[in-house]
Amino acid sequence: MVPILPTPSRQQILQDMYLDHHDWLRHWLNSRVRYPFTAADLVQDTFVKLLQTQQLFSIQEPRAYLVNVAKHLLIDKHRRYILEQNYLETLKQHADDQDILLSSNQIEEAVLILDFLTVALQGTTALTRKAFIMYYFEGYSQSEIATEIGKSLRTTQLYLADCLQLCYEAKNNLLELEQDER
Amino acid sequence: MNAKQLQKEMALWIVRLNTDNLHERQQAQIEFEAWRNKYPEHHDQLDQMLSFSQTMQQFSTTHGISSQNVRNSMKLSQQSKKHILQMLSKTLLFFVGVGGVIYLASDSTMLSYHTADFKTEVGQIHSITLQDGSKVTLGAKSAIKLDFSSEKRQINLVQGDMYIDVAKDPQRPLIIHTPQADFKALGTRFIVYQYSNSSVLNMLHSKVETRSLGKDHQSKVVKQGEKITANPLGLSPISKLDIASTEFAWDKHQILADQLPLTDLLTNLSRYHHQYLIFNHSTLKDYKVSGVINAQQDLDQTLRLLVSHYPIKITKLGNYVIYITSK
Repeated sequence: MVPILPTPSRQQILQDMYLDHHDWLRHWLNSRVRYPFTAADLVQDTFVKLLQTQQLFSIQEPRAYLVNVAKHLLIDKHRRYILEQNYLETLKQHADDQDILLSSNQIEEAVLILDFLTVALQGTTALTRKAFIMYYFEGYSQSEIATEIGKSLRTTQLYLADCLQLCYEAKNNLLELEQDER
Repeated sequence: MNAKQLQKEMALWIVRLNTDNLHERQQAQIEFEAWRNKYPEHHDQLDQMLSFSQTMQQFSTTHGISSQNVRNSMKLSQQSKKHILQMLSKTLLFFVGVGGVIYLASDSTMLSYHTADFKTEVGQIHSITLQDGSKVTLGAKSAIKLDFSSEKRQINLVQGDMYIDVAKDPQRPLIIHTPQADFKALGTRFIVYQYSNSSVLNMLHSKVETRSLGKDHQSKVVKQGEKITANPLGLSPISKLDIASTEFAWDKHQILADQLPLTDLLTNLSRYHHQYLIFNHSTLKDYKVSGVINAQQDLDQTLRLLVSHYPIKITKLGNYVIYITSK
């Protein structure tokens, strides 16, 4: 991503947005956001997001815009939180028959993986997702999957190729985001 | 070919080249050679994607991600989004609900005050000439809403007091509406005081027909030099008033109290001062006040005067909140 240099007017817009709407947004979120999230964190993240936005000049309704950004952040945060809880729960259940012990770093990665996989594939059909899971997580061959889902080999391959492309794209977006945050 | 189409094409090569069907795989290899030679610039990206595909196949062992994990995650992430959207909109409805109730419970006139056509702030007096030529003076913290048409002239006294010199218009009588009564005039001068539970009419000139909106549904004509009080039960008997001192009192922002309930006096005083007066209506309403009180003079002084005459106690909380309780 091209680094965005704050020009004076851009700086001014950001400053005005912060002064005019920071308290309001925090108040708005305060009454809606619950544990484990806090309005203060969310407001902070929202303005960080605003720093990265390219369309700063085209924002017509600042409050609606900020609420929308906060909403999407909250959706992302909550999803990661839920996925983490679920993942840790299954780890706990299978703690005995787990032959490898995962490091905290691996756990963090696993949650990220689950996150981008679900986001990448949320627009696909149930059958496509079924083929994907069988191929990548259950070790079935393409012919076996074709038989199981009742489609031709060629169709099955198209399903799998779709998923691979979507996941690859999502992973790259994620890496870009992480680089931005550093 | 855009980036996404290119990725799709490469993804399909990767899948086809890794199929378990031998015949299909050989066919794919032949076709792929041609593609590979045609697009040497995409080799790196293809390698990256291939390695990513292999990494994905290892997630179950490298990160302990089971197929059940993935299935659950997909289900949960959809629910999560729904949950958040519901949470945001639900709390919104919830807050509108509660906010509305509080509004109504605290003071139903509050909203009407803020949406009134003309209003005055605490301690402010304001004179206006209406479109029909009638002259209105609003007392402190008072508000009116106009409803004028070709058939009628109606002024809703939302809160506070108003002095009016009604312009003559035989075709369109002018009505001052309060929750307790309608005061109908043709062309006259009078004052309406609006209290929490009653409204009082002081006639300065000519006459006004007062129609009770209370239980008795009575109508009485009140003439120059007379006054009447309307409350939810109905109309009081008509009594006399002194026109000159009433006009003088209005001009000087004096409250001419003649057996005025203490609570009404306090309500009136609070319109002229920024201090917040808190008192219990039911325990104080039976004390009646008579005398001339300057609404604009120092509030502490007025309250001290009241304490010396009535069995009440004043408790101050800081500079702005004053509790008035019965001793």
